[in-house]
Amino acid sequence: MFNKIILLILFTISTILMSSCRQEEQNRVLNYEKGVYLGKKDTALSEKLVTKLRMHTSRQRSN
Amino acid sequence: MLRKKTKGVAIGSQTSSFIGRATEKVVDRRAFLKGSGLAVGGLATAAALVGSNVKPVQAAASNAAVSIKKTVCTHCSVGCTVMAEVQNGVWTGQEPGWDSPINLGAHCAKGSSVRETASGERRLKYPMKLVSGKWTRMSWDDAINEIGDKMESIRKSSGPDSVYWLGSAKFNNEQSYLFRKFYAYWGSNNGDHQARICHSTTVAGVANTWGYGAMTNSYNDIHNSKAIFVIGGNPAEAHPVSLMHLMKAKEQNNAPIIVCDPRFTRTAAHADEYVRFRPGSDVALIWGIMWHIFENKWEDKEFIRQRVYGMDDVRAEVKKWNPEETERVTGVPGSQLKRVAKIVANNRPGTFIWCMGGTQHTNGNNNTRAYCAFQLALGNMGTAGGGANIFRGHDNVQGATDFCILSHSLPGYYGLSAGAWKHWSRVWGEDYNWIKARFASMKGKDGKTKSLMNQKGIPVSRWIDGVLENKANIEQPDNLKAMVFWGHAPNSQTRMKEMKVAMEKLDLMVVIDPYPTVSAVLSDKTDDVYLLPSTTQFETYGSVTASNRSLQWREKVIEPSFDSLPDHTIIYKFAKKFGFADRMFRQIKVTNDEPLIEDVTREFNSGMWTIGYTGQSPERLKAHMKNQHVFDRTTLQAVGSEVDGDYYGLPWPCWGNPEMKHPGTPLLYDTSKPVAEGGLCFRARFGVEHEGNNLLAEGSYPVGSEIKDGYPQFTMAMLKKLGWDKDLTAKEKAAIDKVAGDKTNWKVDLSGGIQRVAIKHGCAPFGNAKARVKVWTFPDPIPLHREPLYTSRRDLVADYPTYSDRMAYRLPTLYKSIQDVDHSKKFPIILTSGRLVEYEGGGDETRSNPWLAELQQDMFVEINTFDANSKGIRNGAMVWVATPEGARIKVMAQVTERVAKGVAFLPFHFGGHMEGKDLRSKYPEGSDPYVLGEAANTAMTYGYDSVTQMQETKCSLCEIELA
Amino acid sequence: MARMKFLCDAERCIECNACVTACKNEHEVPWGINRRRVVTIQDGKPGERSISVACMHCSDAPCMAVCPVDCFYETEQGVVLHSKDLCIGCGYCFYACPFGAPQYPQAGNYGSRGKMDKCTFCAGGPENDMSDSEFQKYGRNRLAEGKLPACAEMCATKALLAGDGDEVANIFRERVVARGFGSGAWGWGTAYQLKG
Ligand code: SF4
Repeated sequence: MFNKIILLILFTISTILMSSCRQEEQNRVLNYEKGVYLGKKDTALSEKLVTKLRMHTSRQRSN
Repeated sequence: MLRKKTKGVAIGSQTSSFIGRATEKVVDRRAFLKGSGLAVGGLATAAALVGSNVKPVQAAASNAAVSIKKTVCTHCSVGCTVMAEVQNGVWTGQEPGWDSPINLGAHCAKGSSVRETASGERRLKYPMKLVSGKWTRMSWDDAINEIGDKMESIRKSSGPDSVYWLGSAKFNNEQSYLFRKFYAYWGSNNGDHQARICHSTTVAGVANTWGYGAMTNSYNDIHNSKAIFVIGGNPAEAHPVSLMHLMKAKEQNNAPIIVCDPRFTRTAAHADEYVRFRPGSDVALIWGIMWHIFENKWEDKEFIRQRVYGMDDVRAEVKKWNPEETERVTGVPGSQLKRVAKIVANNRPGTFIWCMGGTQHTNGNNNTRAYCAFQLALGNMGTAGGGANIFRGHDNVQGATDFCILSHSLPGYYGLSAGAWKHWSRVWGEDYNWIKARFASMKGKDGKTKSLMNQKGIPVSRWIDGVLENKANIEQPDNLKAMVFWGHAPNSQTRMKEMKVAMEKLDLMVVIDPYPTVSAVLSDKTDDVYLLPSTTQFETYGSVTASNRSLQWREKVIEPSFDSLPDHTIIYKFAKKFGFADRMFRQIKVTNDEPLIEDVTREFNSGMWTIGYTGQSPERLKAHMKNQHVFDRTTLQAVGSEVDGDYYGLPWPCWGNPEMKHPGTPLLYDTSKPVAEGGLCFRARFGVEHEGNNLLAEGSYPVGSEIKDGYPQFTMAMLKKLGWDKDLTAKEKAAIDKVAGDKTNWKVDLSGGIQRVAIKHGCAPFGNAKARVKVWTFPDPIPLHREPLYTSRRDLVADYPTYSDRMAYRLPTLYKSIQDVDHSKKFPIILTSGRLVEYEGGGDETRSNPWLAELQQDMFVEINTFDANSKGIRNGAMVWVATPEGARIKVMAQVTERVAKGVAFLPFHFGGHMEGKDLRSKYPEGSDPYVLGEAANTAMTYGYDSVTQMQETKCSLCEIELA
Repeated sequence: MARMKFLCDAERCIECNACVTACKNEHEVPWGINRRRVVTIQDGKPGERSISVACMHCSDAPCMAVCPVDCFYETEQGVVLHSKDLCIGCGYCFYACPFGAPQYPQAGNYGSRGKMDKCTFCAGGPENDMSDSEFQKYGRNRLAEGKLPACAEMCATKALLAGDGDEVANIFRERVVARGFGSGAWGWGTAYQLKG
């Protein structure tokens, strides 16, 4: 009887513990893939911005 | 590294707490501006720092529309354009001004951090006064009333000259002009500003050589230089963006850079030839180089024949400076100077740059004139790529000088003669006799009563003596009783121990500044001190003159922060209190006590004929700022657009009235262009002959001149003689008649007709003369080497003694009696001082900027490895630097080869410590700069230039010991 | 477009620290943290030269290689960024980085830019471009506004160049040709090897 209670308690605790172990619940990456970035994706720069940046690079020549 | 820096943590008891505050603040403010979740914390902090009744900074949401305001950096005379991004009235971002032909997007550490200056939390936030030693807040009205009443009572008991108006190179042009006019209306010449202690010897020396006291070419024009000669200047730290232009010449023209300096500066690090010489031996060094030039006949003989007077006398003096004597005095080997002479002779045109290292000496005017002689001998003047390129210090020190916030002149260098006062009275629409009655008069030594209106006032460098000197010895009715520090750091002045005593003796001290400054904490006064918060230039607008004489128009970035007011509003409030506001502002619109800036510009446009501040109307200046991108980056001339043909910022002289559309003068004395297109010749300022010799130019004249030779300055009589008076309009004729008929000259003709007609015929209104290298009106007509007052070379005193003691600017001034005492045994090390890139001037503003303060956290002394080792001083140890007048400062030792054996260097931007004592607790709460330190000038000693009263800061003696 | 690069021309750098304050100003970097700093060699002696140093955004970035949680990524323009959500602040990258770029602010929250902080080439981070959270964690995203890094844009002598690597190299080459000698683009070998 005593053992059963202990088992029950252990079961409950482990359920509680396990329940917050999932990635979404922790709100962070838990399973890594070696060499792969798994974080939030960055947005790419538009073609227009890239052109502007190239022009701005040139003006550093300053003459 | 020079003083390094970023050790992560600052030293000192208060540091941990202020770092904490700084950190907290930085995050909070941005978050606050961005309207994020941290806004509450930010708001709370801001409120706590600012006090409850001060205008709150408006919150700006991150998505609020961004408006761009164009302004100009306030930290040096290069004049870099700053693009301010403003959201909901808050300055949220800063972009470099890529369109500006002056800085092409570049900034130095100070310029790239000016956003903090505008709303910095260490600002002085509201008017305050000291009540029994406690800073107590008060209203503007109460402050103006109380101060005004006290001044009126001093005026009654001691005369107007007992109140001293110490102005600022931080004013814009309009404020400078108003400030100068203001103390004229107050009835005293006791007003001055920092130009006295930065380039006064330049202005006097250069103006007396060829006419105008300003940088002759421009930063951009250095692109054309074939050689670059820098002496007593460290532009890499003091004018960093100018180095962009130097580097261009270095790379594209293969121009050698020669740096002459007692200290191996960051500029020297980029030099091809570094000449280390003994502090205070500039004249000897220059003559020593010219010895080789003359010896090898490398001088430009034709140029000298046509355009220079007195070179033979210089030649005679130079002859004494053979390599042996030069080495004995300067310490520089003849072989190096021969090489230098060869470089400058073979690479013409070369530019010649100098700064405080040359000017701040007891014989500073000799130094600057020797530099001029050097350039004239080489024929490097009046040509692209040549010139005397005097880099001014503060952002508007050129403008403030031009408007003559000085104790010896009215705006435009008109002087203090009755004629000058009458000219300005006409411009102001004022009754000359009314003004005259404002001034005190006094019996002179000859027994005649003279009005102090025509007597030079006390210069800023000597205000201490104006307070402390025995009343019987000064040439004014009473001692100074009240000081107004209007934008001035007291720690930029020498003899601070005596200054403290002087402050304590004053009946009234008023500090008007965006920061409390060291004035707030230096003295032990417990009452009669007022602090009034003025705005920075980012919270107002108007014109500012860069070192190259270009005027730039600043836009207002944000409304005044906290309870601060713009300087011109404060001037108006005082004028109102004193009852002359209606007279002083009769031609200027005033709204809510704020004079309209554009009206002020127009008023000075109508009077500044001498130096051509007449053509730069607000409309033209604004058009230049709008069209910055059309100006050529070397010539500064606009190509196309509404400003086509103009030079950027209409560099003065911009002759005639704005309608005449003169393009400005990019290079002074350049005869290769017609005057109408910015050409010029040397000014006929010193008469037409001297000792039977012709002073006018011979066979040299600006292109297109109808007079193919030299000529005196233009007057109505001269126009008539030439038959050119027919070209005057009836209106111009009437105006000229009203002034002085035939005697009316180009400087006082309010119609601008004489200038217009002279220029129409290709002539310079100011005449066409030779430059003179012999200034017969100065103590040393030909520049002489004179040993510093505190010299360690006693062996040279007999051969090169200083001047005899004398009266100057109302005060007894000591020379010989100081030099006669030998201090070199007890104080064997030569002490010099200078700048750091991160800070400016007294540093109150920049040390209150956390981004800059973090970079230089400790005041230090540079000491040579040999001296340090001999004295057992390790790098980073605290030491006492003691000087002969009894002062000592406790600073950190920086052991380095940067200074020579026997020489020590102090940066002068620190303040807030006094002889080992930390004065932080004396600042008004929340207004203490992040970084404090000993002021170099606590240690710096007595010594003033023989012509201008410039202070000696570059050459004294000291002893250094472990603390 | 070639990858984004920094180049510091030691012949032109005058140690004015404009880059350092520009960075502080732009990103509100707290006291004690330096994403960029100026290093001087031979200080006070002939041969004195200074170089402005920050993250060089290396091709084959060593930090990326050693990161145990793979918090680094490279943008299309070759900018090396990291996610502060993934970063555990372990400090491995500091040891790997040949330029000493990574910084570790003491406070653990984003408020003072906790965990590892470094130069972002003014490209923000993975959060939405120009969002408040991007600003708080990484600072401003200038690239997304069409502007180059603030440090280079404000450089007093245009010693520090930033942008399209080919164009940066062109500008530098023109100077070297004019000078008649090349002291080399400091750090380029280490940062970009031969990969371009
Ligand atoms: S301090 Fe001078 S060089 Fe530096 S940004 Fe300001 S104007 Fe330009």
